Amino acid sequence: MNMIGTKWVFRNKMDEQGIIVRNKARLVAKGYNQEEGIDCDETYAPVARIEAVRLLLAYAYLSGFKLFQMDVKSAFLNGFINAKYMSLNNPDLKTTNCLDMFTNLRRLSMDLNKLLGNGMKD
Amino acid sequence: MDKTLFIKNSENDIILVQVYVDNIIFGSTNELLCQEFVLDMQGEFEMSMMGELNYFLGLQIKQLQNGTNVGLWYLNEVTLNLKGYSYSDFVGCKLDRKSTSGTCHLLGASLISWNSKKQACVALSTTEAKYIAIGSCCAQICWLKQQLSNFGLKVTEVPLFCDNTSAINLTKHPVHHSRTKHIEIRHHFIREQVSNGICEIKFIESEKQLADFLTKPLAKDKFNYLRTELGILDYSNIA
Repeated sequence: MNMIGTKWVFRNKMDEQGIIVRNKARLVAKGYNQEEGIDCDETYAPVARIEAVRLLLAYAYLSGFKLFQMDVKSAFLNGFINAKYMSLNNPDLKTTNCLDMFTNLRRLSMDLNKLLGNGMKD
Repeated sequence: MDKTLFIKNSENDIILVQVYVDNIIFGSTNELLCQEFVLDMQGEFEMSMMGELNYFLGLQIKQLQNGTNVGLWYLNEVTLNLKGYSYSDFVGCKLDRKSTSGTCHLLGASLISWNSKKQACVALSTTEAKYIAIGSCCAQICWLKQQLSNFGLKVTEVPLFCDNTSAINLTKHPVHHSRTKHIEIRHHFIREQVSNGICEIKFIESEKQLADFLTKPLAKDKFNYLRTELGILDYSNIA
């Protein structure tokens, strides 16, 4: 089992004139440390084929029902992780306590593989 | 089985939910099922309800560069039949002498999928080139058929239109002669599908072949004709 490291990503959002309007910080997981078969099982992304979307559009139209649309706010921040996960904190952060080295993950998007497995299956 | 399509049947009604990562489109024959689904989802996840579908993954593209409003329209037609068109040129590529397949599929009068792809191997005759194209057209039909059966719609033999009679005959009678015996086994996939009744290969005149424009440039009149036939219409002519 690999320990998944984290990294802070800082990004400045600019408007049309190139003036910085927002500073964004995001804690990301170094998911590339995971190995298939050891840390996760089969993974897949729920991406529909564009033909499937068009087929649904045509079918809905021809059988006369309305289609609606919704959007999950930030795809990966939802769903709880069932198992207990620890993630290694970024060494950049000055930590005094040994325990601070780890973040206990409960509702974070750190383990995308597990999250997709648990949260997004119907 | 499509892992991005979720279906729920209750009595005579059905709700279909198509997921694209965090975007969801859904519709139901019964409005109540939709409302129920919305509440369920909002309880579980933080959702933004976007309302009636009007823009999805850039599917509504309004303007082309030349300033005309041309788009794909799904016009009113009540028939729910699936059709496939398959066409191929012969030795379209001057470099490696491979041919190009062009296929398109319509549900009623609505264009659903299309494909224009250089074939993976060199064809020795037009018949062979068309035969390969029919094969890939049929593979797509199999998938569309499965998807439609998930929607609760049973389609029987799907007509697949081809403009080459010898290729059609080749799909029906497993004859081997000197000009065709080298055609690879995988292209004979189509034969099995025909004998299983998945699709039915039909002849169509070249003039009415809708997949014609997928393999080569055409004269303006013919191009415009095919474009209209496929439901790619000028917005200003409709509204």
